[in-house]
Amino acid sequence: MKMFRSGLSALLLLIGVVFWSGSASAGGPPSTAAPHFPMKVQTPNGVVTIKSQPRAIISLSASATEMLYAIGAGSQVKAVDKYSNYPPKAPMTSLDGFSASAEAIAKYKPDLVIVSYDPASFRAQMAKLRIPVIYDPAAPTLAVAYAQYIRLGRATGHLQGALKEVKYLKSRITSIVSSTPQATPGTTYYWELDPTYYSVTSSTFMGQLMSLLGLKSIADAVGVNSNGGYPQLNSEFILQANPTYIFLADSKCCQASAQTVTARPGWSTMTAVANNRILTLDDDVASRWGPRIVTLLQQVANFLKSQQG
Amino acid sequence: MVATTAANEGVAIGAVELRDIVVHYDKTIALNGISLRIAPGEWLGIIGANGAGKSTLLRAIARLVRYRGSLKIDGRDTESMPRREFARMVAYVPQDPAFPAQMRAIDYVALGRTPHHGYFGAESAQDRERSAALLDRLDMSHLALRQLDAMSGGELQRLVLARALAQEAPILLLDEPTSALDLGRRVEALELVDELRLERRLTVVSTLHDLTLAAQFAERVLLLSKGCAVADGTPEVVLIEETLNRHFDVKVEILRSEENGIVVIPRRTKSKGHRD
Amino acid sequence: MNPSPCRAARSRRAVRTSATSSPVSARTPILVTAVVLLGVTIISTAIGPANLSLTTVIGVLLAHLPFLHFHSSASAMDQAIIWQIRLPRVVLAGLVGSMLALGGASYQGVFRNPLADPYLLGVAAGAGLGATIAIVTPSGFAELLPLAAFAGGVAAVTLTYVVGAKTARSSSSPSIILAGVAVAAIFTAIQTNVQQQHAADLQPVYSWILGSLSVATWWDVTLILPYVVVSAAVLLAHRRLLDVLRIGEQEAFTLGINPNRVRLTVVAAATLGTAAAVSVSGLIGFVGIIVPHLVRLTTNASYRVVMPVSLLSGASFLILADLCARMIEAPGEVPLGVVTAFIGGPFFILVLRSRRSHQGVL
Repeated sequence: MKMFRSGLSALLLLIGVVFWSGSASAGGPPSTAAPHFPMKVQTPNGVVTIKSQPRAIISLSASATEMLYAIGAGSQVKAVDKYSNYPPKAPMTSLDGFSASAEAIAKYKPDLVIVSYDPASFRAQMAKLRIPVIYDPAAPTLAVAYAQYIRLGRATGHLQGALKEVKYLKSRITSIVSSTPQATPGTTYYWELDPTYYSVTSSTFMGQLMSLLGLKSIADAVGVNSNGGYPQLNSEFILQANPTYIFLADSKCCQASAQTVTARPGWSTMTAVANNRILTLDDDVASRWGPRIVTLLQQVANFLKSQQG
Repeated sequence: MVATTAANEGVAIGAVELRDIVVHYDKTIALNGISLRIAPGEWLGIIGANGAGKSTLLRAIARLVRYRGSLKIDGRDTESMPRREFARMVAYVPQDPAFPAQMRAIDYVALGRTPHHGYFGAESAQDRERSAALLDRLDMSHLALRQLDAMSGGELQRLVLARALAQEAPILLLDEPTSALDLGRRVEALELVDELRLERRLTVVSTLHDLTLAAQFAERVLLLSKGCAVADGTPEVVLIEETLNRHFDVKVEILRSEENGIVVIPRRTKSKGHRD
Repeated sequence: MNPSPCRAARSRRAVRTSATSSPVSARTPILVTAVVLLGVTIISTAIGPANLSLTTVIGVLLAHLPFLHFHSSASAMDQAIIWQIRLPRVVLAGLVGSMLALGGASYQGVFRNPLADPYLLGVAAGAGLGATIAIVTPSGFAELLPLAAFAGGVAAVTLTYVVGAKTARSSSSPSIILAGVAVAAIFTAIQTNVQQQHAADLQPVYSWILGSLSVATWWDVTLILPYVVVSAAVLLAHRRLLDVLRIGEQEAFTLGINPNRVRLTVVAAATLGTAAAVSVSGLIGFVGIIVPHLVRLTTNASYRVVMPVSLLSGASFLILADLCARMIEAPGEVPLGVVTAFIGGPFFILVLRSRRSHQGVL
């Protein structure tokens, strides 16, 4: 659900990110020495200076939380917001990334705050409190997601861990894709974000992952960038498009399941419904751009294999 | 008593009896115990200074304000009388009636038939006939289909009267029926009311600022002052100089004319200003 | 020598009107709008993002009529599209549109205020709160939503009446309207708060608030049909009484009507119907104010005409608006509330300017 919301802002950031991703990959040879602070970290919104290795990190971004633990910085995390439910051991609080109060955050005495949503003047307030903030919005591409790992690695003193993680992700994705039989051209899917038929196009992060497996979203017909890549589809159209597969990303929020979908009036005429080519995804896994994208990809790949086997 | 026998027979003839009517507006007392009897067919003119309670008394009779005391019509107590039945006995014309701009005259008059309909108000051919007949009687047939916003003050005055008459109620209450009219229209309107009163045996109770006209048309005059009835009788008896001086706080001269009855002339306190 | 026009005017004789000069006739406007509604329904059922031919559509519709034993050769999917997806949507749009327009006309009649709409006493704010709570509560999304919205709407108006009746000597119109404003403000504040605390669900909440019929099913139709039918019946039955109320509550009293009772009945019926309508469609604005006024400007201000014609016109209006909502960005959807504002607004301005400026609105 999160990326969906940031769809529009993600599109706008694409321009800035294109410039930045260049510098990210050209960020100099990885240092094998211990992390040296103070560190100046490049972000799309300027340079963030971190005085010493952060020991009290607050993450208000569920994806960033997962990334932090994946690169080995978990022990430095002091508090995470209420949507950061993975890994379970992350210290969850009632903080809300969408209505964060600078005061409430300051109470934790953080030395680094990571957000994926930047309400007006939040960062300015944090600057007044001299708390460094890294603003990593929803990644529009894999490259941007990898760059976020690197950035977090630098900022937390775990650059090695970050590089290792990125390498691992890349290799896992490659192996999953290669081990999955190539989908026949014209294989489509309907990715459901909510029961009012909001969907994703191939231009979105998830859409790109699906494209790696050779799948095309039926929402592309609306226009790949319609509504930032998250258009609301008309149900007639979904029926007529008759996608090969249906992916439900609204099982947790809205109790969608193969049963509820089959029960929808008229949907039983779709071949995907009639042949139960419906895959139920975990909402969180299907909307974050952190380390569990490989879980998602593996789940979809296994599903495709089972359908063809 | 004529009134009670009529009530026993079930025929409405328009006798009104008020006993100890008291009306409060917040903390002030607007009517302080008014008792009176109005005979059927009588024209009672209520006069008094501003704030004396004239309109309030009329509205009390129309059951538009809460009052203590009893109001009987033709011997029947009105306290528990259903509104629709009451509306067939008492018709009320306010000082400033509302005229919905796009309504046609004939439909406006037809509103007066409401007390004769069922709850959801389906009108019958008979209702429409009666409305049309009333327009005719008041010389307004040619205006039947005209919208209210295209009619003059005098025409609207007659229209309100037509609507009140459509209720076929024996008692007609008129609150300042001539305030918006010029002299000619005033006389016209009051002559019309008198004609209809005699024609249909209506009991008319009206409030009037113009004392001369009140004297000319009302058979009986009731003078109110600060919520109390201070004088009640024929115009000759009530409209005398000391009474008017005291209760209207103005010096007057009363002329008695053979033809025209009583004429009340206000006296100026100072002579007309002259430029030196 | 010509007589002076002044003399001619004085001697004008009365012309006798026919004894049966007719009351305001609603028959023609009703007939016309009914025919329009039929046409609009057919057009809207025939057009959609799934390009189906008119013959296919008609064939499927005929096949569903009980006694014809007509068989359609359309595929199961096409039949499902027409009968399970498109037609319920058109029917629901008609029901919701008719209820909103009729509710608007009723409120305008009972409060004698041209800006009165069915949301005046807080039903929108209440339904919004109910819907928001249902959306953010982590269980049972689909079925709970209409019921929660309905309950919220009814609760808000009930509270308005309780508050309004207690604060005035007599439960007069202005005091109830003010109470409605206050209750709506309170409910909106609570709703906004709940919404912000569950910012992850912001999108579905906004979606609902903007109004949409994209998930209309026959179940929704059967859900609201009894309320709409009963509400419409009660409201239409009161149309002559609303005509009497046009001269004001005081004068209506003297004609034997109890304005308070009429107001209570009309508000209760309109609220039930409106709460039911918005519970399945979200808060579609504009219809309740604009449609009755369009009807007044083109036909007559008498409620005998305005009420039934608003009912039929409201249905046509919303059906057409929904057609636009699903065709403008096909196969994507545009929120219905956005469409009603965009097509209704300019259209209303056009009609307003073409009529004589002094024509009143009530």
